[in-house]
Amino acid sequence: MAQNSTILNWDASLDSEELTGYKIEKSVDGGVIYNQIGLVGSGVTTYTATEIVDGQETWFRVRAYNNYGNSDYSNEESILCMWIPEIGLRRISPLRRAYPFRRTLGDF
Amino acid sequence: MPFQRIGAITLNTGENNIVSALIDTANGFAYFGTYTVPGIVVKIRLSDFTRVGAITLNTEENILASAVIDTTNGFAYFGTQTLGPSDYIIKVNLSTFSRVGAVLVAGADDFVSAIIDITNGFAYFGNNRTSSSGGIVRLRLSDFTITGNIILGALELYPYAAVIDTTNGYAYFGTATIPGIVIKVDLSTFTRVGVITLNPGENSLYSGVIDTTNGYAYFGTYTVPGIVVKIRLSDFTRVGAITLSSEENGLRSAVINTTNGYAYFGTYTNPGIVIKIRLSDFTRVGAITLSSGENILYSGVIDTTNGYAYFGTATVPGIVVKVGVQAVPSAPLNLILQCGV
Repeated sequence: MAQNSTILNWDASLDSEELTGYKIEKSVDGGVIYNQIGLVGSGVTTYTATEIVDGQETWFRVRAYNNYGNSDYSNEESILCMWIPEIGLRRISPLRRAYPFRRTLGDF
Repeated sequence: MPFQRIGAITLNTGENNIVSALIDTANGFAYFGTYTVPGIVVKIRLSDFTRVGAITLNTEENILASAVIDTTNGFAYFGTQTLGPSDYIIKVNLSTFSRVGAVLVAGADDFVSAIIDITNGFAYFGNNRTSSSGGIVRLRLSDFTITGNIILGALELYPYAAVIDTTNGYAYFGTATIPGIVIKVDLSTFTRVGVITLNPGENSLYSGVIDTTNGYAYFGTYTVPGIVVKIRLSDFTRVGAITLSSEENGLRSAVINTTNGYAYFGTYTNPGIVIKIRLSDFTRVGAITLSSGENILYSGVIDTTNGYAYFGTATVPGIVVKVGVQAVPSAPLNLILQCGV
């Protein structure tokens, strides 16, 4: 299976003075089961998730942590990226975000 | 819930200027005293953060500027500020939420602070006894009787900031003087046993908290900006100070979470600001500016079990602001994804 990557960006926790960092989690079953795929330090608010299966919708969420424990989760977001020959990597879903004009088709 | 504003209750018309606060975490209520004539005690249920009642006190029982709670026996005690040279201590039954009685203390002009030693059965009220020195009166809880009085030293006026170390049997009173003074009182003999005059600029101690586990007290100044002064209790010595950031002025209230090692100071500003101090390295680590109208944080209490602090505002009417104070961080926001290349 072909693989690509996803870039995550988020706004820092308000308690940035006391953060240890952020934990990044991924789900491939619609956001039911998440697995932690990475850690970044307190000053970092971006992460590149690799080994994303081409054409598979993937869900992500992030939370901050420090010596006392974890924060609540960020908003959960999903993305489906697909490599299209002669065009390149394109975001296919979620459709609502990627193709807002489809609202007129009665899909929502 | 991390360090953030959670919500607020605006009290009823006439329930103005919240100048004292108490908390009974076991039963899930907080009580707030008003700067009104007469004074009003407002009861807030913590579980759903709702105002559930109020007691309007009797004529002359004005301005509830100091308060302590005896959670073991279910009573609260409020000290007044009347116009005359004598003031009242009022007893409230918390289970029935009713006024039980009052003691008029002659010569005690304005009760400005209060602390309690439930184990030994006494409460202590700081007051402005004369124009040249403050005083402390001792209230025996069992029979609601004044059993002692200390007249402080010359110019040791306005003991607004009081903390107690019941384990070792001492109380510490910070004064609203220039510079501030911290007075140590031996509770077993009920005598003044020490005094520290703070550094120039460390003026007007209106707030204080104590960490008896680690042996320090912290006093907040009513200055621009505010200063937090650290006192080591073992040898009763000033060991340091933090000058806060610009706009963090007039430290009028304070609460402490000794379990997690943080203190929180409320400011006399519009709107109010809550400043977070990490005690382990005595460092300012953050602040929350409250919403518009949530001004002048005159009083505060903390529920360390559930991770919330409650600050009362000196506004018309008063507002109780709920702040999350657990040590875990707040969540990151606005996660955005894009396909990589």
